[in-house]
Amino acid sequence: MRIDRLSLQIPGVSEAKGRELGLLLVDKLAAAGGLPAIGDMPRLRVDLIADPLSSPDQLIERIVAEVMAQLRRVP
Amino acid sequence: MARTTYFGRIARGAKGAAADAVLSPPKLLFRPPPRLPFAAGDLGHDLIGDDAANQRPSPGVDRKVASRREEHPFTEQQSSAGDAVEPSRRSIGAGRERRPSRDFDSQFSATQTRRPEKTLDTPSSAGAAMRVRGTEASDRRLESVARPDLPHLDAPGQERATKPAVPQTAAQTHATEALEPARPSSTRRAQLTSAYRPDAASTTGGGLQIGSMEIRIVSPPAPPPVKTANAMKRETPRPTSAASRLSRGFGTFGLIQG
Repeated sequence: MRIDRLSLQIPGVSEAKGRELGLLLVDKLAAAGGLPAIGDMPRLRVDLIADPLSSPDQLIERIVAEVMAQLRRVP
Repeated sequence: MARTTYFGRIARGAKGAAADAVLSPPKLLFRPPPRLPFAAGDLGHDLIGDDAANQRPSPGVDRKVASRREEHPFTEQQSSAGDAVEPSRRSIGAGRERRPSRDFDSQFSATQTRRPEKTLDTPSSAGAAMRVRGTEASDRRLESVARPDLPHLDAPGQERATKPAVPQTAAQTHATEALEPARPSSTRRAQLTSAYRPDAASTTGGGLQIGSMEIRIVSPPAPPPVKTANAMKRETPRPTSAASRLSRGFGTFGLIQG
């Protein structure tokens, strides 16, 4: 999988923390299975509502799940 | 055999027929007959003052020469022997053609001293040296047809040297670039281009390509504020009629009507 550009907007999180979350997200996506081997998606957008009671790892898990759901719909 | 030369006829013609009787008879120049090389005999030997040095060598030398002409592997010796033999064929003077024969004797004696080196009893290095000399001589013959200014270039270098420095047409330029292997700089440039162009993701090969991934986490909506008593009072619409106003204002506290 190749991602040319990754944009992460999380309110209430510093830039350094957002960078760590981005790297963690990339690692989770790379380790995730069940992705289509070939596909082309020019733009993928994920909107989630933050849960103040959840941890950053749980937030990343939610993001990965949403991304996988969208990628499975790729023709 | 004897001939009147051209000069003699001119002299007689210029002086006239009258002077012909007075003048001495024309000077006759004798030309030796065409001579066969070496084994021809002693023709012309008497016409030129002969000395002991011009004595014809023994017939054995001719046999040696004939045998040596058959020895082609000795390239150097063959060429030197040819130098000794060939001028005697071209020379007109009978005396001069004898002189190389003496040099020839010395050369042939040197040949005889070298000849045992060629036998099988001698070490192989001597024969190898002779073969190397023969190879060098043959290479010299080959180098005469090659370019002398580019003797040590290999085949690609030769092609590059003979190729024009500036290509003449654009098609020729593209053809040259297509034949040459890709350089690392061009490869690196292609990678950078695909990395900085989101729309170029589909052109960079197989696999799953995502041009732009935007993840936005929105804050949950703010919880509704807790309603207090004062707030409920403020939000209560005020009565518009006077009766209701009175009922509210005074009825609560017990309006006594009477």
